[in-house]
Amino acid sequence: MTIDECIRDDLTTVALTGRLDSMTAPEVEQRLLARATVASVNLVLDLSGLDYISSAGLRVILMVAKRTKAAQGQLVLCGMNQQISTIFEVSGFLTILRVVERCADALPAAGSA
Amino acid sequence: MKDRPPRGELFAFRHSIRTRMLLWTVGVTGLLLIAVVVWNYVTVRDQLKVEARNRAAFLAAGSADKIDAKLGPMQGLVQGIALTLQAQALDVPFERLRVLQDAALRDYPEIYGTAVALLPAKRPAAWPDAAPYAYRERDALGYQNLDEADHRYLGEDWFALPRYLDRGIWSEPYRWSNGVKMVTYSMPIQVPTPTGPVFAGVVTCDIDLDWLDRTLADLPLGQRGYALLMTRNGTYISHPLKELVLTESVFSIAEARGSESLREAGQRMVSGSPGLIPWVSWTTAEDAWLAWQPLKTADWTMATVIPQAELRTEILRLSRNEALVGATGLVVLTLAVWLIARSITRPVGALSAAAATLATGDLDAALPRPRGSDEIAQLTAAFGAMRDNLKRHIADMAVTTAARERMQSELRIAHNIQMDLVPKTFPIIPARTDLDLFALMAPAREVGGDFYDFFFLDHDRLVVAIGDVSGKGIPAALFMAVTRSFFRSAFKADPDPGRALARVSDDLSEGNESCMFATLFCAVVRLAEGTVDFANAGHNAPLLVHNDGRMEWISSPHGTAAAILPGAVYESGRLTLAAGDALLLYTDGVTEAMDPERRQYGEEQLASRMDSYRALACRECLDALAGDIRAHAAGAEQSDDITMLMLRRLVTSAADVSRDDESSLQLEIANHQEGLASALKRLDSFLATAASPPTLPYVPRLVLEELVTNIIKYGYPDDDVHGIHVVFRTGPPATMTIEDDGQPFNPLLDAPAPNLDAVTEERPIGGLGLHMVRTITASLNYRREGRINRLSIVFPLAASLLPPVAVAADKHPRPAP
Repeated sequence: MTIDECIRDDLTTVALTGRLDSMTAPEVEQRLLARATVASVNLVLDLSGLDYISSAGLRVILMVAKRTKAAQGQLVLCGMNQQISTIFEVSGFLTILRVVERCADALPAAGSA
Repeated sequence: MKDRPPRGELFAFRHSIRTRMLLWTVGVTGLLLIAVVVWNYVTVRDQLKVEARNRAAFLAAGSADKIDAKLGPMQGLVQGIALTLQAQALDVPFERLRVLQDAALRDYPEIYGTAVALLPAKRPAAWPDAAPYAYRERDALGYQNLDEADHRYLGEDWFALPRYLDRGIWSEPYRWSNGVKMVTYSMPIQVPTPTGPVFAGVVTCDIDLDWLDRTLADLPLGQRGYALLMTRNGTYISHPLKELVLTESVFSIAEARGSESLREAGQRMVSGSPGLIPWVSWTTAEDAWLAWQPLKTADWTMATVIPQAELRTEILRLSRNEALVGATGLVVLTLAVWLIARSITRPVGALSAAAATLATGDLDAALPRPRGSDEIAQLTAAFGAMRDNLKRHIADMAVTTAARERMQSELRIAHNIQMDLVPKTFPIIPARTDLDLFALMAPAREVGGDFYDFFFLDHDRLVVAIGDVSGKGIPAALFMAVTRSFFRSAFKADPDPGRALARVSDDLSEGNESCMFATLFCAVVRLAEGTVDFANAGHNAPLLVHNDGRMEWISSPHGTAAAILPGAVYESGRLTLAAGDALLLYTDGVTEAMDPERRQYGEEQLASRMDSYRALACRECLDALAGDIRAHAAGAEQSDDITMLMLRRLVTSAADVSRDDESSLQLEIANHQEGLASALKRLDSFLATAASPPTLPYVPRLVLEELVTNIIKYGYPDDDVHGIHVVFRTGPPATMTIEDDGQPFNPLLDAPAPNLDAVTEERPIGGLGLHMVRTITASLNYRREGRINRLSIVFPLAASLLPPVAVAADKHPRPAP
């Protein structure tokens, strides 16, 4: 699991590459929550490099979403592959999170919110 | 009577001591009294009958005397007048005679009248009358000359009879011309002449019969008794039945009635002698005594009729007085008994009430204050002492019971802890096809000093051990726990059985103040080869059961029991288990199990049973053996802990041991994060090298991660290391079975479905994993088998795992990072 962070203007992009499972979830949780709690953050999670996610990973995403919302910020997820999308679908997350297909679309989406 | 129990009056009447005392004493005394009175009455009655008869006779005599006493002076008076006239030769002045007559009437109120009747020829010249008569006329005196023209008086009885009989005489009763009934006493007057005394006349006095009646009525004859007077002819002079007087005589009545007995009685009565006969009263018609007595003065008979009842009143009065005195005594006695009984029963009643209160469990109820030092007071004091002892005893018992309950609860917990100290998951995990192993332990008490253990040193080497600590109960259990932990650590340090035993022995003997010891047997089984290295510290020789039926006691090498002396050395032995050979480890609770006659189960019986159970699997074999031992004991109390461990080597082929091939993967996962991580790694590499992907690779990975994470997190309440056994087969369809010995958990039922429609803030974190597993698998099947959760999963074919419509519509290429 690699975590790439890029902060540009008021937009924070975090790209996750590899597997987000019960082994890697604690580290990702720590890193992402640090970003999510910044007031009015516009956070984009680039998941195009993510191969695998389990419920431990979903739990991290959900926590990040909650923190962002509490901090009056915006969270956009982008670039899921089909497997990841399926998992998000069966867990019902697609309905409560803002998800765009291509990360290029995510930037204006996050900024416009 | 506030101390009387609130029952019905009749009930209290029958059950009160006081009432019983009263009834008995008063009843018995009363009966005695009645008996005495009756006996007295009966014995005195006859005597009193005689007495009554005498009394009747006495009364008659007394009555006669009384009449005599009245008549005597009258006769004397008449005689006096006659003698005076006689002495004066009738030469008495008429006035003088009158004075005499007046004095007589004045002095003798019973005299009705008195006369001097002379022959007409003898009348003194100075007398105007021949027969002067003075009599009572109301309150004054009347005078009359009885000599009437025809000289009729000369023929009257009262004149003629004395004249010719020449003596004083009483006449028959008669009615005088003025209607007065009377009798007359006449005395002749003999005037002396030279030729001798010559009759000159008579002196008389009359008695009114009414006066006689009154005199008789005054006699003390009782209420119903009466008296009568009759002449020698039987004529009644006085009788309560007035109509009889003058008109009837006893004989005329006897004649009229035809009564012989009356005639006889009359004859006897007029005979001149006294007498007494039983009689029936004419006036009251009751049994009576008729007694008679002739008068001394007149030729009359005095008779009394006294009812026997009248006489008997005396007896009755006597008896009545007796009864009265008795009854009074009885009343006094009743009162006394009642008081005594009350003085006894009142404290008893109070004590009884207190005891009843006590019996309800109220031990603080006040006891009546004992008064004096009688038996009741002693009883009360003893009762109080008993109550106090009881209280103390109950308090002690409460403390003891609480302590015992605490002890029992602790023992129960200790039992559970001890049972948890030995591995008891069967079939063992990880599951092995080359080994059948089963063990059971039955402490004689809640906890025991036996133990067994087995664990894998690695994939091939299995350590088995059995031990028996000296003694039983808590001390043995504590020593057993220590022994077990020393044992495990000893084997981790050095897997040689002999050296391990030596180390355990040294560890145990250090500071072993209570001088306990343990017999131990341990072995390291190399399952692939079938070699068994073992060492024995004073323990029963294990039984080697060859697959061809031969039995072999593994009795050598054999060392001393552990913990006795530091520095003990144990020699390791070696034997070989062929496929199908079994090794039975047991404690002496098996061979020394006793029946009620204290006969031991014995090694021979053990061997022969093992021979007959040879075909059974280890679990069935030990169960059968335990049943046989129970049957042998036949209800006798288990005297020692019974522990058995049996293992059988099933296969020897090394190829069979490793079952992983291209189509299946076996995983033994330790219940921690690292165990899961390595398992996932092995699954990844297996899936990567699989010939054809059986399903989308992320699906089995996700299922494994989610389910094993769940088991690790929630399956084990303890901190021990557990194994989770997973088999993945590529199929098709691909399947996975997950076995764990954690708490029962059915992911199909026991996990709540997450609320997928909740908004972000309300969405609970967690519960998602099982939901995803349920969603992305084709089928899930859960079974609890003994202590094992077994989950069977079938994965969908890759083709059916199409992405959901929304996302599937856009088959995007992976964007560049």
